[in-house]
Formats: sequence, C-alpha cells, structure tokens
Amino acid sequence: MNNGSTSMGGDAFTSFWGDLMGQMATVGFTPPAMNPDMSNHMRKAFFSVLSNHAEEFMRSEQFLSAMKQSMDNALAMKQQMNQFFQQNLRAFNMPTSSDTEHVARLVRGMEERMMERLDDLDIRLGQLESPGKDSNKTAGDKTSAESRSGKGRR
Amino acid sequence: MTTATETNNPWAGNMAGGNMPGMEMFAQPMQDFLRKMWAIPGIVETAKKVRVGTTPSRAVYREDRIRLLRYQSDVEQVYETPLVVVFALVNRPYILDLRPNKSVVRQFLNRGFDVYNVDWGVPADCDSHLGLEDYVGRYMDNMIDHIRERSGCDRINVLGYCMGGSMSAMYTALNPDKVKNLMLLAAPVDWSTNDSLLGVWCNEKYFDVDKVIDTYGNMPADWLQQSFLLLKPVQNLIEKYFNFYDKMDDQKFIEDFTAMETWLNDNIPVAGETFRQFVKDCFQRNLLIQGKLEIGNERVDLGRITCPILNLTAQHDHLVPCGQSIPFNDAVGSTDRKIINFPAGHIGMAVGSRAHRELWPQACDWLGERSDALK
Repeated sequence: MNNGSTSMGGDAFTSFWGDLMGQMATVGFTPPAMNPDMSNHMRKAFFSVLSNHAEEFMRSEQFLSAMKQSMDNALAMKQQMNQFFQQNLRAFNMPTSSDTEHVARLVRGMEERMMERLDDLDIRLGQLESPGKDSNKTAGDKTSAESRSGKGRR
Repeated sequence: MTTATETNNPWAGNMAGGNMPGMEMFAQPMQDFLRKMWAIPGIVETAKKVRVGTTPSRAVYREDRIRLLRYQSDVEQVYETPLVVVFALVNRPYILDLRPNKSVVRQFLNRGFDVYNVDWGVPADCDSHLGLEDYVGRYMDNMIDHIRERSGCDRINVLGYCMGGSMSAMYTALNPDKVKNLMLLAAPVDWSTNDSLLGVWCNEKYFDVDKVIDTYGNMPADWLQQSFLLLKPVQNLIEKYFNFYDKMDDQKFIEDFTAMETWLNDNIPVAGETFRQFVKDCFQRNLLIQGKLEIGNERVDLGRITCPILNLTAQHDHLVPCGQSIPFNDAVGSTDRKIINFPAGHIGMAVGSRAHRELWPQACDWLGERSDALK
C-alpha cells in the first residue's frame, strides 16, 4: 500500500470538498430548504470548484509528465506505422509520401532558382532602361521582381 | 421557450395533479424529462437547418488554397477604406459571421464598411513546408495588395482575431505603409506569462514540436481540437451538456448551440512549418514582443507600427489571457492607441450577445472616426 499517494489523494479531496462547501455557503445552501434554483446554484458551484481543481491538476508536474509520455508513445506508434507502410509501398515499387515530399522539395528549389534568375534579369533590365534614375514606385505598386520574390505573388 | 413540437406534446401539461399519493416531488422532474424527450425530433430538425456564415460573399482573390471573401450588403457603403478580417489558422473564419444576429462582419457592413475576410483553406500534406513567411509575407501581402488595388486606397483597415491578430501585428510591422488602422481581437503578442494553460503545455520541456511536425507533417486537426477541449474539461465535456439538457426545449438556444458546435468541431490542420515557427518563436522563445522575431529575412519590429491601434481583450479569456495582449500597446510606435478590456471569454468576444450589444458598436465607431468617407 502506498501511503504517500493515498495521503495526497486524501488531501486533494479534502481541499476540493472544502472549496465546494465554501462556495455552497456563499449561495446560501441549507439542505432542508432546497429548491430548483438552489440545485442549479449547487451544480454551478460544484462545476466551478471541479474546474478550478482540474486546471490546477493539469498544470501539475504529474499531469505534464504523463502528457509528455503519452505523446511520445503516440508519436512512436505513428513513426512505426509510417515505416511499415513505406517499406510495403517500396516493396511494390510504389511512391511513398517521403518520395512525393522529395519531389516537391526539388520543384520548390528549382522554382526558387528560376525566380532568383528572373529577379536578376529584371534588375539588369531596369538598369539598362533607365540608367542612373531611381524607379518611381508608388505605395500600391510592386515591381515585377518583388512580385516574383518571396514577398510577391507566385 | 416553445418549440413547434411542443404544441402537440402530451407531456406539456401538469402531471402534479395526478392521483398518485407521494409522487408530487417526482412529478415535475419527470414531466420536464418527458417534455424534453418529446422535443428531440424537433431538435434534430433544427440542427439540420442551422446555417453558419450566412452573409452573402464572393471570392475575389484566390491563391493556392486561400480565398479572399468580399461580403455583399444592402447597406450603402459609407467608408472608402476597406476592412479585412484575418482569423487564425486553426479554425474556420466563419466564427466572425456565425449567425445573422451574431456576426461581427454584419456589424461593420451595417455601418457602411466594405468588408473582406481571409479564408486560409485547409492545408494538405504537401503544404507542410508553408511557414509564416508564406502566410504573412506572401499570402497576406498579396491579398492586401489586391484589396488596395480594388479600392484605390493606399492603406486599409485590418482586424486580426486570435492567432490572426498576431499575424496581423507581424504584417503591420513589416508593412506599416499599407495599414491605416489596426484592430486586434484577443490576439497574443507576449508569451512571457504562464497564465494560459496552453502556454504551460507548450513548454519545450513537455512539448517537442519538432518531433510532432517531423512525424505528422502538418499539425493534425484532431490534436488541436482535443487540446482546446481539454483546456476547460469540466465546461466542455460535462457542464455544456447539462446546460444543453436544461435548455433543449428552447429553439433559439438549440440554433445557437448547433451553430457553435458546428464551428467548434470544424478544426483544420495547421501547416507544419508555420506551427513549428509559432510554437518555437512565440510560445517558447517569446521573440515577437522582444523585436527579435524574423519572418523570411526581415526582423519584425513592432515599434515600426505607427497607425491607430484598437486592442480588444477578453477579461475571461482562457486561451489568450489579457496579459498576452495588453503589452502590444506599449510595444508599438503609435500615439493613437486604445485598449478595451471586455467582460467576455475568447469566443464570447465574437459571438456573445453582450459583445454585439456593447463592444462592437464601440469598435465600429472607433474605426469609422479613423476611416476615409466615400467621396
């Protein structure tokens, strides 16, 4: 028998019950004079105290460690499933999600390189068209270079 | 508190006058119970008919999965400066237009504003690489440029809600010349306090965001939904259903409850890189308020924001406590700045009856005074 945890549970319950009775007293709860309105107040008080204690518990080291543990387990299981499906798909010569991600990364890299080249060309063209002049850019306008770069439309 | 079915409800009468001695104390609860059970088919019918996001709108700009909606209204436009509403990436944006009588969008339309809303769409697995650079630096910028072109205004009004507010603040800091007035609604900018349970859960000691995103790609909608539910377990998993039982013969309550549940259960995944950046740079490192956050290669300096600011915070917000929003007003370079700390919760600010009666008329007045009238 774990006396420590029993005692902790007992303390938590005593604290919960003390808070509950305290709130009951504030709404004028006296058992013989109970009416429907009173029972609503009692219910609200009960939920309010329960909610406060739940929040306190969810901030505790005990809960946070358990949350981390269960999250780690869920992620490990998901990783195993991913590996399993990848192996099977590869066995059938079928593309996996990591293959498609790899292709997508390649395409994005190519796109970025092309955009950079186009930006360079735009700048050089601008220099050729108006040597020594600053371009007149209003607040609402975007240069074509900006439009294609990270700040612009793609 | 009457429903169409109640008129034919045999349990709507008084059972207490029955001839069973000693049963009086059970008669009323039993009668209530039977009346509610009788109302169930009506509730199902009502739930089926409830529509959300009912203000007519049209998509005026599309890019990848995002859409920019422009609302239509019978009210004549009074202000030239348009307003764009930016919501978070974790839920659908129709919370700001949930029901005709609980619509922030309609509040502004009825005052003569030209209102746009950003629908971020649902990111697919192949969108997991999208980061804040894409959402703030590219999509938002392109949408706002589109609105500026359409309206002919150099600067427009922005209303950001929750995470959308943080993103609006980032955008305004990067593009101060494009925003005329900035309104933030329950928007976190300073994560240094531990008031929010979400902040505690996101602590790097307990939450390895890299591991989650590397495994899943995008942040799964189910995970987000369960986390939000667990922030208030007693209210969300128990008390809500007791209240539902109490009011299940109230037609209006059922309509509002169904609309709200539709939205609450409509979570969407968040693009992996964006979620990783937001958790690491905001929740864990708190870079935004310190002026150290970088989007793309640009540093986000809130001090560059000089436009008028209206910061709407919720006193009972369990997701974004006031302490996470209020420091924004001290961090900006604006001189015209105001905070309204309203007695409501995070969602109540957008759909609460009191907020629509007292808060939004004030916000409309504030924005109207600072917007250009239509010539």
